Amino acid sequence: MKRHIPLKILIYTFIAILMIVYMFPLFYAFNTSIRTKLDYMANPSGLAKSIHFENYVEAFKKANLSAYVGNSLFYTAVCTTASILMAVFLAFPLSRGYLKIGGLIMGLFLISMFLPDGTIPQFQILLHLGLYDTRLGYMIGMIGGGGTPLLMFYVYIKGIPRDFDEAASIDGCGYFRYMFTIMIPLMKPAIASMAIITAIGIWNDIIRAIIYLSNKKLYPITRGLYVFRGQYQVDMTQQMAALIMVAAPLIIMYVFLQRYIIDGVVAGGIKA
Amino acid sequence: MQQTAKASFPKWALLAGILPALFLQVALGLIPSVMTFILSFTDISGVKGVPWKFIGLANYREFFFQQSTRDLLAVLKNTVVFCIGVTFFQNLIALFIALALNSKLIKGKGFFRSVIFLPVVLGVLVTSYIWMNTLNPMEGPIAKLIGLFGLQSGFFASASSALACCIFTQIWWAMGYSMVINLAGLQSIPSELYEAGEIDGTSSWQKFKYITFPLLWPTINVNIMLAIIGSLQSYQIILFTTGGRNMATQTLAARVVFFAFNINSGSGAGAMRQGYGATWAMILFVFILIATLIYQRAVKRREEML
Repeated sequence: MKRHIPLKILIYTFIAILMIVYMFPLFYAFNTSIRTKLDYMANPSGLAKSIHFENYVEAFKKANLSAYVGNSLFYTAVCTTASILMAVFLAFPLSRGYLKIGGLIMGLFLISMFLPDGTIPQFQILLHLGLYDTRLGYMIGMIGGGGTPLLMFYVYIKGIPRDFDEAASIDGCGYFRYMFTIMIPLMKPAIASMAIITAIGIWNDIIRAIIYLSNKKLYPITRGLYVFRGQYQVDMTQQMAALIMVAAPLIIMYVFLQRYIIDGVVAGGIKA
Repeated sequence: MQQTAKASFPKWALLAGILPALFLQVALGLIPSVMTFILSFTDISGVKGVPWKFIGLANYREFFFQQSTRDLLAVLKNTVVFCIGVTFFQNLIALFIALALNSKLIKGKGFFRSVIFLPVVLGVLVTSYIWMNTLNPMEGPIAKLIGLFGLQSGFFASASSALACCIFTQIWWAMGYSMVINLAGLQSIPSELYEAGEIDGTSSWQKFKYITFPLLWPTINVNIMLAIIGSLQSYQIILFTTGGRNMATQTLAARVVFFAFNINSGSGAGAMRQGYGATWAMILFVFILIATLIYQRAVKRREEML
């Protein structure tokens, strides 16, 4: 083992540098958020002399977070549920090979990754349907059955014996009842992982919120944080307080669910 | 793909289950993708009711000949630098991270892995603002640190360093993905190979060169492809740190949203030039196609040489 010691030191040094690069900005954002504006202006890189929560109160009002958090929860819940259900009902017949056009449909979902970006026409379609600046218009583009969840469920369902399908149909159990009472419970680990990843993507959306929403009543929480945009003339202490308030629930959730999240990304990445 | 199996359930039910996803995919995925091409020949705006018409190749003529050549070249150069910078450093560092976190010599791997993955969870906006704060040129902590060595920088605010800062922030944000994919690839390498190597008395370097790297290569290859496409399409970090007006960081993808949606551009909604934006999107599409082809060709040649 002795000859490993220099290598061990090298690896720990490398990891230590990484940890600083990854944790310092978060720590510094928190440090900035609990300082008074004057204290910060006098020496931006200094440590907080005393803890102040005034920035949080101010930023909470300025970014209107109390109003937006409900919207974000609503958007995330609806889009995630719809997307996951769609992906399940799409993946099942394709994975089982129950449909002749299954291969064609799978191809249709996979090819979209290699086509030109459709953001602008999608906006035009929703605009002309009168869905600009509506909850539905904002959400509908984030709902879909494709992407990583489709690929993951496709593979996962192959691991569930077909005998279940046959037994259910012989006993006269309908398709939808079968899916909800048998299949979906069997797919729980895959669904949990994909639901969390989908939910994070929707919760963190900001581009669609900027493009589609102008009515403040409809803003998600990220759009509240975005009011602090600008180069350096903004009040950093307040901006960081708002940022901590937006990031804290994500970090807390991440601490508990990180196993599912990382497993999901692995599944997506390997099959990408 | 595979043979059609005898379905246990009625076909109409299976199709009914597929329909919502299929409809959305066609209506808001496939059709818009094709329409981007069509809209690139129009002068359509982002406002309903404003008349619009087909204008032939006028948008493409404007792209190539009527805009400032300096701006166009700056955008193309930024796009290439951003893509290569992100792809190269992200994959190089991700490889080292994965090797380090897969090593038997290290404790606390789960924690380190989680920390590096955290920015993915935090999202682009939070990431952008965190680094704007840390890289505050006016006596921010990093400014002070490099000041100790007699250096100074405007970071995101200065034309000479803004793009580098965007590349760094992009890598910091997306590193988690590359790392996790690499780790999964490393864990799928059978440990028997290393044990056999140990019996033959191979050094750590030889193990890496003859076992780890060749077997991890398909994974790295996927990572590189994802990074090339991802970095060419990515504009969020650029948008939220340096904005839409700073030509020093404008890439093709950033210009698409700049023209089509006026994000951060400072002009009013009436100026949303979505036809011209679609033209930029088409050029970006061709650019991605060429970049991936060049990469694939280079990989093939390299593999043939070995």
